Amino acid sequence: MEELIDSLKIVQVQTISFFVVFLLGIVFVIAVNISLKKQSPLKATKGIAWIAESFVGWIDGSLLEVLPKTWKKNFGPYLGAQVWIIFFGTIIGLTGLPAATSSFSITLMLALITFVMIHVTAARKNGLGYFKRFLEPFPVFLPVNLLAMWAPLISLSARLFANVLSGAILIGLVYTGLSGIVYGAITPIVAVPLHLYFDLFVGAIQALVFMSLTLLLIQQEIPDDEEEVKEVKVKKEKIIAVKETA
Amino acid sequence: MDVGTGLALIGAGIAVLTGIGAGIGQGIAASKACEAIGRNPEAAGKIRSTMILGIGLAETTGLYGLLVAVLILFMKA
Repeated sequence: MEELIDSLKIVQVQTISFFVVFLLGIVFVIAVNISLKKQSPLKATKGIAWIAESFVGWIDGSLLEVLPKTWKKNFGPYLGAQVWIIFFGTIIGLTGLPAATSSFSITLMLALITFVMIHVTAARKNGLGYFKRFLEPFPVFLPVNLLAMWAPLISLSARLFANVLSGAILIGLVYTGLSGIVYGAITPIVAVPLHLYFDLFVGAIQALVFMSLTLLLIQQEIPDDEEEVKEVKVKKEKIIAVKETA
Repeated sequence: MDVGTGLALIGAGIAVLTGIGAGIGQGIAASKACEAIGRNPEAAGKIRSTMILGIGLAETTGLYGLLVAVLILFMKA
């Protein structure tokens, strides 16, 4: 038993917050499923299903602004899960648990998924041409390009981590600094607006920023809009047909 | 406290000065957004969301400085 407790001590506290967020997601999905069975198809959706519907609609809407339609089915759920984990992982700091995103391991994990996804997408879409990027503009730049490759990973993870960390530091300063004044009576008055900003607002903004950056980074790797390519082909065929008839 | 620790603390203080750049950048973003809304009030919603996204990105450079400062504090002090 003591060994078990000792092994649990190694685990960061943020892991527990992360699992709470994860369980929250599962509970939400089950609740939406139950709520969906009660909905009548003729009326507008109500209750928790309406929340899920607007969430999915918002994710799909922002996805379709930058990526072709074929991506919606596979990529939308990943974006949704990402936004869910970042938003709730940050505002869980309001409950007393440490924010899940205040651990660099968790933000690094989120950024790593995006990073792997970018490179896998690039390799799939470009084939062997994927390796050409390391030799541009000249083959001499290979070491520089190999180093620059990691920039999105570090900037994505450090951005999220530093945002949450700065909030935690400031709120911690307020709590320790005000605890001695009037027996800490004014702490709640000062701390509540700060919690609103650093937990709720920063969580929402960072979820949005992370999602937009993921979308933009992946969009760069797609050579052309697949549908546009098709349209161009059709147009070329039409032009050829017109020329032949003329 | 020896001189090395003191210098490290000064270094941490200097690192947080990155906030100046982030502040200037955010101010420019907000002022340009105001101009844009004044010129085209119908697009206010889209301008606002783009501005918040840009401010979130500009904030990052300042926060990198904070990260460096915290690293220095943990390593040295």
